[in-house]
Amino acid sequence: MNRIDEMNQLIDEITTVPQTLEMNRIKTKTKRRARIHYAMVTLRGFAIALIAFMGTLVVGVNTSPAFASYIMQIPILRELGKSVLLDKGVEEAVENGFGTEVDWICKGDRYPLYVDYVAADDTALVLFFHTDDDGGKTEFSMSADVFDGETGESIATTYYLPRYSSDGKDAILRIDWDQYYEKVRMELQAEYDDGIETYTLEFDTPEKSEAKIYTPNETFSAGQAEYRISEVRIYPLSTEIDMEYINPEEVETLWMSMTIYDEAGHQYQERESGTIIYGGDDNKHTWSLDSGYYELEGQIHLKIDSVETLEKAREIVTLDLNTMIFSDIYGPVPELSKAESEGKNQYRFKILDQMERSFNNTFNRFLDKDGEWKQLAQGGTQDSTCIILKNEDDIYIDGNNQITLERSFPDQNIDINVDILLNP
Amino acid sequence: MNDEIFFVRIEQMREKLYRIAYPYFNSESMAVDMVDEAIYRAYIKRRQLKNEAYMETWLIRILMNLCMSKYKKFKRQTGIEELPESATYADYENLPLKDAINRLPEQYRQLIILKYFGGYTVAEIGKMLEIPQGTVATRMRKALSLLRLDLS
Repeated sequence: MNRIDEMNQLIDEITTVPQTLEMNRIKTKTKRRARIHYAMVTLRGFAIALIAFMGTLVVGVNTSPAFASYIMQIPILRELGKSVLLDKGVEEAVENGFGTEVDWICKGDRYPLYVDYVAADDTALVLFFHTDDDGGKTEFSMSADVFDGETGESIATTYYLPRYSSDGKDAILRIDWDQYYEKVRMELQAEYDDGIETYTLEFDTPEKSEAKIYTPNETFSAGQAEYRISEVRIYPLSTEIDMEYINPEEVETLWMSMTIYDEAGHQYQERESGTIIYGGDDNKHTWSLDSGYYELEGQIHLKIDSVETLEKAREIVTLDLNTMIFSDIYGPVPELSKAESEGKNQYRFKILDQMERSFNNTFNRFLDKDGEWKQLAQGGTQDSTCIILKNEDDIYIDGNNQITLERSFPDQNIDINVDILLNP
Repeated sequence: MNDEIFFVRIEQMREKLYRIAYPYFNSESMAVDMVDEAIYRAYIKRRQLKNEAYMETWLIRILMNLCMSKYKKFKRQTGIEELPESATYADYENLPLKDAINRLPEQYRQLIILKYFGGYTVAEIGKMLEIPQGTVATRMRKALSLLRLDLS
């Protein structure tokens, strides 16, 4: 008996990659988890430096407005502000009544874990916990497998920060999920310096915090593009903004910079972490912002600060291999320098100073001989970008010795400052 | 390695990652979780990868370690018991192939998964698992004979 046919059948069963492994989702989820991870790690490191630094700083800021203004220009402090906001995002959620005090004890073989608070909404579950500072272990890393307590189905696998050092403050375990589950079972694995300890935790999830839903139904435009904000859902732990692109034929929207603020002065501008989380329909997208805006008070405003767009007719760019000049339908692309060849099918160039910021992603794809678009790889330094066209034999080179590329950076960054009152 | 290159490489590999994770659990959601986790772990450590050429080997190793660790728990929960090293093909022949693979000792199961579901050669598997090619070939022959997979 030869079972090779049975094997082939087994292999054929796994023919399609599930929708959940779609690239945009992978990127969003990975970057989101990484941001929380970096924020937590960064926070601890900064906390110590900050205590020492604040003494000097407070005196300086209070006595000199110029100094106060100057320190806001120091990148490391802006970074600190961002990290604190992310951390505040969950901690204050609990303090403001979005979390439930639980006092659970997970008895391990050696070191117990104490869960103090749990907060949940439709987008995330957060546990605040600590170890026994007195005689217990105060440093550990942790991972968690999370299951639906009713069906046993896996909900998520989460990797927690590599090193938590208890300093009297709770550690925070955040699990992003796609819906609220009433019952949860968690298998936690804590890695201490003298070995691994496992814990099982089963619980009824505290009542979920509902989103505050606003339906502004407001339209606004940026250059040739027009948009409608249909719904804004502010959860304690994140915010989602549903947006329709009313005339997507001529212009592609690449990015938006948004701010949510209230009249008490709370303000959240999350340019880098705002992400488009899904958009099966090209004309509708949901933007997701990382922090929840639970502590907003009084009248809440959503401000669209700027929009980056690309005229669709300019998406196609050619690189002339004789002159090394990038061109589109209007002639040479003004934002790009002449390219330099760096080996076969590898070209280096600069985004010129007229762009307001640098772009890691200059081109998405190149055209192959069969008329198909193929992914290209990009690398580079702060000063220049390098694109690498793989599958060199497949590259389409036209009669004028030109290759064809798909542009992915904007031709316009439009400041619009549209202010929408969410709760009139 | 910058973000763009990282995710371009992930896009090229995601199907293979999924195909490798799936046979451990025969569950779409668990395989997706494993792939997600492996990508996340690779992403936060991507700067530790000195040579981009080894990204695939590195990521597959992360994924395999995750799957093996998870599979240990999964076996306990589902009551799957691996057959001992001394088992013969007679112990496997009445099992559906899916179950037979799951009951192979780990050192054989990972070779079968990497070869058939990942599409790797013996040399590539040797590098990935950091074991000599000869050892991979010997174990592969044993695994194939246990499963009655005759490549000829």
